Amino acid sequence: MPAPMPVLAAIDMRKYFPVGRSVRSLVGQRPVVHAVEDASLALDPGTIVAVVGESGSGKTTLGRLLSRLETPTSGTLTLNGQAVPKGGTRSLRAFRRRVQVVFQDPYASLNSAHTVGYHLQRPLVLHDRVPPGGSARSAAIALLDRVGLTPGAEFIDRYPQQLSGGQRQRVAIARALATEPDVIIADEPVASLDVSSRLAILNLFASIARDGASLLYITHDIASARYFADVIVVMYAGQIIERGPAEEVASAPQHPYTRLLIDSAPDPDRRDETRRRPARNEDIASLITPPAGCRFHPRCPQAMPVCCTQAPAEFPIAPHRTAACWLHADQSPT
Amino acid sequence: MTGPGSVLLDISDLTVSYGSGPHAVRAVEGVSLVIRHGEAVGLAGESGSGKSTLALAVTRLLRPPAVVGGGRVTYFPTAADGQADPVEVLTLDKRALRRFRWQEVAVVLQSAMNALNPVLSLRAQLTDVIAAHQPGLSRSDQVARARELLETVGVSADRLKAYPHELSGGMRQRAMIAMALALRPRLIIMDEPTTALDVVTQRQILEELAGLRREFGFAMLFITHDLSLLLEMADTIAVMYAGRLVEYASAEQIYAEPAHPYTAGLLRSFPPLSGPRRTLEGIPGVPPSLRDLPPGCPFLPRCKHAAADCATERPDLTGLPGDESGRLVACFHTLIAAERGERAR
Repeated sequence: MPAPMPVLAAIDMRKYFPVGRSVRSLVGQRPVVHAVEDASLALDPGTIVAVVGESGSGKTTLGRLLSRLETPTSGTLTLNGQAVPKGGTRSLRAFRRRVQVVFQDPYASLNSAHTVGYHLQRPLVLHDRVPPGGSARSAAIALLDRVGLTPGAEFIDRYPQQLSGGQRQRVAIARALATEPDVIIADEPVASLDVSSRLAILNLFASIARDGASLLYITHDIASARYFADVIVVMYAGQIIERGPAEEVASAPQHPYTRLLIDSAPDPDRRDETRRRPARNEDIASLITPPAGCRFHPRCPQAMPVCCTQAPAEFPIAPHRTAACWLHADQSPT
Repeated sequence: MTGPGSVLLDISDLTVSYGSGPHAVRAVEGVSLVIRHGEAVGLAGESGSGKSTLALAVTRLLRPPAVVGGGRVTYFPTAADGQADPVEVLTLDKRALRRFRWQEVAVVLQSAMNALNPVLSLRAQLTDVIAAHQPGLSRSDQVARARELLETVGVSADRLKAYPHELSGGMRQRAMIAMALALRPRLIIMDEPTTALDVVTQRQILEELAGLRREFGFAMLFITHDLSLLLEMADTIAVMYAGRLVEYASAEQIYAEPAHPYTAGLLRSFPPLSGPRRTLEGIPGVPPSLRDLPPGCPFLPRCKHAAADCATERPDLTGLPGDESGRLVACFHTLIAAERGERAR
């Protein structure tokens, strides 16, 4: 049986942001921030892909490129095999119905001047999702029940300020679900929430994925990525440096940076082990003038001469498993 | 007698409210806690738990409308001859308070890295702290000390000239820790010191702190919502919920056998990095609003082990039957009792 077509695919995405204004811009040599460099990513239907990285890794920018909140400097984006137009709001409307976003800060992503019901009814109406013979209001109530804000009728007329962070995030998720999207892109959806509320939201996302939507989960927390994602993609300094099934990446990381991330994460089960020494240099790679060769080489405990001069490709290690590291250059199956 | 293991700070029955009268909110309710010389005490809690308010109260940094409603904070200084009178922190006069703050107890607050003055270099700010508390030092001695401090926290001394915006978050946080260490205090209180930092930087800073503690022997009160972090680095952990202390035990005890259902729920809220992948539940519901706490146990609405007495009586913090370790829990039906099939009381 042929592999399913990815629902959302990014090919060789690049995003460079110009830095300030300088005389050099007159001669076409503006310094740029290489926020995302040659990233390719495919999201299969009903799967959860976690993009893991620290701040400055490019993960948020990648998410914004995949949701077309940002247009790429170069590269293509396809939805169900068709190229997504670069255009403005109108031409993107069909895209927006299918690809929705949930943001990190539930205090900023909801409009405090409007009720919960307003937030949900608007996309229902705009994208024509009100069932025939039904009302937007009852469809909104059903959405609230779906995300665990039950009874929906009690929440629909409340204002965001009357809700807790976790409840607001559920409203944001309900809003994303209103258009019956194929893909939800969630950027740090639980980072701003109390610890005890996080799992419930992650479990909700998992159930949404089981219902068929794909999820791109962007986070710095590899433990939560391992918890419920199918695939983990690790980013460093704007590039994808490792990817594979979540469990394998978390238990047997192949890239020294992934290993560093996992060793650094709090892990009470391993608190008696002596941790590996942290990387030599603290600062992450500059994105304006990235290091030559592998961008991680200044911090890498296993850097070799080739790492300083040549950038590694994503070498295959196993089926569906790659690492952009010269250590794995000769392990490609032939 | 003072020395490692003896009591350094004794917080007794502390209560802090915001506002007064019928609408006052009790942010901290009758909290008692002891910190010993050289001990790393973790204070865990979520929003509304009162942990940050506690830190501010202990260092007299509360601002109106916060008001200390009761209790004592007693500090046991170390004098050269081993004899010194205990100090009541809440009633210290201005001069004594100034000496207490920073020389005995230093604080690194949440988002401390944003507390740096953006128009002053690191050198100016570090020497400022040193000069304020050690006015006798010459200018060059102050700078030398500033250099030394930066190196102590793993920042190279050539960064002294830098301005805050030229430094990464991790470096700024290290600079704040350096400032806290400037006068070799006996106790450093840190409120979410690594929350805004990346996991890798966080790990580096925590390891440096552990090394500094070994070297200088100061005690630490580490306040965070990240219980998994505390399990790794604290000796003792105190868990706060709705302004009250609900569990107090060694990190080992909390990890192996949490007694309070909230602690157990918190532990289950951190997905593990190893072991089987299972759906975790966390804790249903939300932390309560402090404005209208019902009578009885504040955790009742979210507790799976609740019984009738939990609604009418509020459990006090007491020891476990047959347990001599000094661990405390505020619960009528602790998980340990449930394990043993007994009633806790």
